[in-house]
Amino acid sequence: MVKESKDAIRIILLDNLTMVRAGLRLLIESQADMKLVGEAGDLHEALHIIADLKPDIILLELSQNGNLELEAIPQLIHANGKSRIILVTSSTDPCLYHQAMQCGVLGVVLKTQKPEVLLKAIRKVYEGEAWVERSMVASLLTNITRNQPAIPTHLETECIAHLNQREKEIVCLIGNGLNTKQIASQLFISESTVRHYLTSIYEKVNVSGRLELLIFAYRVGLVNLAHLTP
Amino acid sequence: MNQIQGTNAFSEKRAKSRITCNFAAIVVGQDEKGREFEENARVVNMSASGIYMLLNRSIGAGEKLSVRIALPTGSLKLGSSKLLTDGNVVRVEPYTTGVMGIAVKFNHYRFR
Repeated sequence: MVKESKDAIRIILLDNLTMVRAGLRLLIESQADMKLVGEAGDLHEALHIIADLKPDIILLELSQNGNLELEAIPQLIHANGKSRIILVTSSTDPCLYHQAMQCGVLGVVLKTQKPEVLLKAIRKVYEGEAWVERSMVASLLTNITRNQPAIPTHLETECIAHLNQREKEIVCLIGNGLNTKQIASQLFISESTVRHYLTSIYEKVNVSGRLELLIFAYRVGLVNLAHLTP
Repeated sequence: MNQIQGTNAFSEKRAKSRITCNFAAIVVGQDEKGREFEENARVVNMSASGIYMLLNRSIGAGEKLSVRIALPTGSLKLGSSKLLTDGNVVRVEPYTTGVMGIAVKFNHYRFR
């Protein structure tokens, strides 16, 4: 029997596969400084137990069947802002790693690793550090340095202020990938009127073309990428 | 194993603003052996001057590519919009997983 310490790391497991959870449960319960306080197989249940149990660590395996998808991560964090999420995955897709960390995951452990690696990751993330595969560090850092989150500059904010409501609507539609004809149809105006608006918008936000305007729309938040799917 | 420390201390020094995205794309071009290919890719960031995408094959720097990017249309049910681009590979980064990170500078583009 393993004796638990008073300050054991409180962990919950989120995985839609019962047998996987059983294996992780055995591993965690064998550690004196860790305590499994709950587990869930779908998002609804997960949100409930996170809010209720306020774990230190959430071990998350993404799955579509139980709604435990990438998009669920912000909801998990919102359920208890102090819980730290470690993604346990069989995927080696750097894009997934990057997206998961952008969503707020603090550790990523491959399922092919030894159990000791997961235990070490749990302790490090609990202590306030982040954890990723050594092989993924370079690609993650590349993504971090090249994909800075868009924060409108003071100049961009000023540009938005100069746009009237109709122009903002048109910028938003450009951001949604619509062409002149589609915008005209959407707003019940002529294509020529759309072009007039675009000329005015280009001047006000200091861009030279439609693609630059599309990028501007995303950067300043007139179009929210998080709500769009290609 | 390594620990990394996230930081936002990197400043934007590029001529064109860029956005992080996750757009599906189709790439048409020639591989390092001159064979034509058409393959799915994932655009992970984009500016008005170029893109950075993940592709499951290697392409030589300097090669010409056509990339058709599917733009998201959100809740507007007007069919998918595409950004058709032609450009040159300016940087190739192999990842340990076999995926290649490809930076492309646009020569020209058009919306469809």
